[in-house]
Amino acid sequence: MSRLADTLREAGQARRALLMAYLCAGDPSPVQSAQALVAAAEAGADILEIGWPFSDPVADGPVIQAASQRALPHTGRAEVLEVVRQVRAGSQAPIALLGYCNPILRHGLQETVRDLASAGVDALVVADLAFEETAPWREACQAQGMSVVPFIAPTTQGPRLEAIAAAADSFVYAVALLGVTGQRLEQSASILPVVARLRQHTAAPVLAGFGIGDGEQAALWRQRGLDGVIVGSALVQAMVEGGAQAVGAKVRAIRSGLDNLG
Amino acid sequence: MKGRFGDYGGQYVPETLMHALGELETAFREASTDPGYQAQLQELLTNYVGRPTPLTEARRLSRQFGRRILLKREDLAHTGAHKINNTLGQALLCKRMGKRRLIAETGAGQHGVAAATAAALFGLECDVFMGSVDVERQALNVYRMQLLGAQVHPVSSGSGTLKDATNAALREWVATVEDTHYAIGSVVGPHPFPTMVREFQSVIGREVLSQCRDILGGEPKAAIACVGGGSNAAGLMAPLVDTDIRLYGVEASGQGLDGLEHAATLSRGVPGVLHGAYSYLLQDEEGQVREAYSISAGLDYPGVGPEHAFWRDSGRVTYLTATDREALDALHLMSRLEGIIPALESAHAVARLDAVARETGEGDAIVVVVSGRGDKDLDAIRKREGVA
Repeated sequence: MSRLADTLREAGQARRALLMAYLCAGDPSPVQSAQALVAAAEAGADILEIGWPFSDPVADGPVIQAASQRALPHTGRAEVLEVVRQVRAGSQAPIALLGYCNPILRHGLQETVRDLASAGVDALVVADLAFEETAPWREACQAQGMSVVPFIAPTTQGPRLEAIAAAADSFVYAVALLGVTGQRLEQSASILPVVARLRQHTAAPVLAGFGIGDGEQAALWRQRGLDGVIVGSALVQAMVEGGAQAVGAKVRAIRSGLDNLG
Repeated sequence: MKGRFGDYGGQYVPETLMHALGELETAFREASTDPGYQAQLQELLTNYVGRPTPLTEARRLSRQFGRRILLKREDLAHTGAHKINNTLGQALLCKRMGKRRLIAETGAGQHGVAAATAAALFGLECDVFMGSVDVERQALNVYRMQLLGAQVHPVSSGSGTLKDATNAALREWVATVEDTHYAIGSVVGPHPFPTMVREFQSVIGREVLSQCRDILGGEPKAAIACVGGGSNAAGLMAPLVDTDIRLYGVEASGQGLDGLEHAATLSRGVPGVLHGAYSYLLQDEEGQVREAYSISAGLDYPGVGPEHAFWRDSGRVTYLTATDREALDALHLMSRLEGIIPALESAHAVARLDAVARETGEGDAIVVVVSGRGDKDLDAIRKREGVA
């Protein structure tokens, strides 16, 4: 996790916006997804988010659902670990593993967390793990020096928000809209009051994700005071259209949107 | 821990839904002790659903098995199945929370019809998510829902069946959670759904106990119900777990337990997380959820309610299985001997009367839940048996 802590601290000191880039492991193949993730890091992504495909991704919209379906026939636990190792070999960027509970639990939480950590994962982002269920996950991850990234959503309220803030040991994932993943034309502002309340309780950086897909939208979130953005579906789409090169170009465009705010 | 049955249950959902689950839990808890809400639900169960449903002596079936067999007639409830007990309770909660719209998932269409019915009764908007394969298989129920004013959304992702319809309903709920209630159709999903749906269905078990006191002067020896997600079984069993009554659940073993064409989650599954709860699950070595299979669309689900997982492990309930063929044979048997055509789901429970009879003595009373009527299945059965 020191890789992740260092990245977050350096960005904070330099007032540089953070960009986390998502691709689904194994889409279209393990090797190609690893190469594209490395290309994303070279193009300016600060954190690489590697998706572990799942049969029932309820938090995802059509683009990431389709990526998961393409990857599933040839991407299991071993291949996900291999993609992590290849990305780690090609880049020093911190790695977050985005997954759903069941495949991670299948062969034991501790064992899988240990294998992920030794392959090079710095943080877990688990789409269907409500904060109330995170205790054993945080324990297993802390033992391996990994972070469990908590979520906030436009509907997050009350004492839960303080508990989430207290548990944030790297950054906080702010779900920017009511709905599933996938780029939207309109950028809802409904998460902003929740972010403001969260900030009263934690200094952890807050990254907005869901619905954000280009440089202009990324810049808007920077102007709104977020510490960075998470881009997924737009990169998956770029991968489909033009492979690692298109992913790199897309990341550069978003990076320049984030950096050229003047 | 909150919403747990032993290790099972919990709340494995995206953060966006947590507020709505808390709101629902509060509304349910307050309603449980609100005499006004209880009276309103009771009035509907009596005068709209037609409860209590009868407990019918099955005289010819009794002679066949040498036991005293009593049929709990949920097939006679309004809309033809037990599902209405749950949807009326949830529609009332939806109104109570100030939400204007109900969404639901459905497999065979029975829960979708019950949700559309409750929505019509209370003037709520209703959207039902149904796998595209099931939309084809159950065209008549699609039309029923439309007649009742609901919009039916075919879901073609994945295998186009109940699991995918549930995914689609969850995704829709995440997007519309502020004014929409998701009325889950079984004792599955995140807390508080397994507890809440069980409570709404417990009217089945409470009536069974009271009717048995009248008819038998006491308790039956055994009680049996089919298990898909497990709502009619949980409704039967929850009021009975503290008695000495032997309890049996019957899952669908489809084409047989040796292959993959079955829905026997408790018999062949491994614990895991699907649709918000930790419970037994049909899954592969990689933790990917498998497609379930059964001739009965209502049992065709790869998960099962977390309380059943708990009852299974504790040994309080014995879970058996019945194949497609055994269910069909039981449907024929009961139709000819009793003049009652059970739903294919319920026929799985009837099919295991043989096993329950073996574990009981001459003349012992056995209650079987007939969770629904078979009219909806006639097309499927006719095709399966090659009848023109």
